[in-house]
Amino acid sequence: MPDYAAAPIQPIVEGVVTFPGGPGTQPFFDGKGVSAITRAPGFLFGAYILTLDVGLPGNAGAVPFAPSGPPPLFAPDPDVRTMVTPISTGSPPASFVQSIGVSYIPSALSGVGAPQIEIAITEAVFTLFDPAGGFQIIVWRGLGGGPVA
Amino acid sequence: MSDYAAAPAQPIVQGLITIVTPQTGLPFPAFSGTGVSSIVRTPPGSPFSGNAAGDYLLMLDEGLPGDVALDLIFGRSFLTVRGSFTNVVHFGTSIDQKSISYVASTAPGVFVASPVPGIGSNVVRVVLTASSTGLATDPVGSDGNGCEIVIWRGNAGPDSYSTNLTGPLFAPVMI
Repeated sequence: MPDYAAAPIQPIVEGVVTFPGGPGTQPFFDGKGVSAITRAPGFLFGAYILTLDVGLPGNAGAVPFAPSGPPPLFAPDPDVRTMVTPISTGSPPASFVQSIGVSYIPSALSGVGAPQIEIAITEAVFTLFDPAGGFQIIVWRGLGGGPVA
Repeated sequence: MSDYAAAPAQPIVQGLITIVTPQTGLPFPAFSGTGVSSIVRTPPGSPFSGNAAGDYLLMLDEGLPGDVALDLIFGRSFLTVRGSFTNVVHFGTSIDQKSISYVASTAPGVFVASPVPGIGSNVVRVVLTASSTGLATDPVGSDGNGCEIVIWRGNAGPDSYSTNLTGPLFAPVMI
């Protein structure tokens, strides 16, 4: 059988974010690879900062910057892949999520990479909100490869 | 310990789609990762209706690591748009519709809508749309900061078959 596993990726974070006290309350992460979750400063809903574990399996240094040298051809952190999937509630089930944005917050230390991930979730008319059922998240580090245009 | 890895899926593509704006000329899509040999904007014309933005064709590698001969039913993927600091929503994106389809190229520059029997799909079409405008949109500027993509080949076990599972709880009514 051919081996199609030709694009290696390493899972470094997997978990579920919920709001045990309901939307607008403290978010809670249950899984691996994350040491803390907070709301983004100044935002009461829909914007979260996940701090990766210092060591494995989160190893924030495993999410490196793009190769240095101006002008940057690619956005920072070309080697990280994140999947966020809302969990529905109600009947019929619905999440009411309109858009999901994922960003990587770089460390001030050179060579460390991005030790934090920021997630922005909006509902209709692009308003930040907490999905009542929470959301699943998986973060991989992509390995190898390079620019193709 | 139990082995829960019972649904094998092999990653064949992983990368980041970005929009590169040269000092002169038009912005063009670029891909950084593995499994893709080139990326272009979807050209106009049947069966393709290309857009000026947000509509891309990713050519999978001919040999490993991309050689998928990807059958449609085996494709598993996700697309994640990176947020933009300049979006009206803090680190948000205005791209709220994402789709992927498996097409084929029988010759350079020639595309057909469906995978070719015996070859499978060697091209992946990605369309990113902002419902606020109804238009395909590049993940650049205030609309986003690139789009991550991972494609797995599902059903990667030794056998490729499907069957209808029946049992005491789900047995059809016998007449």
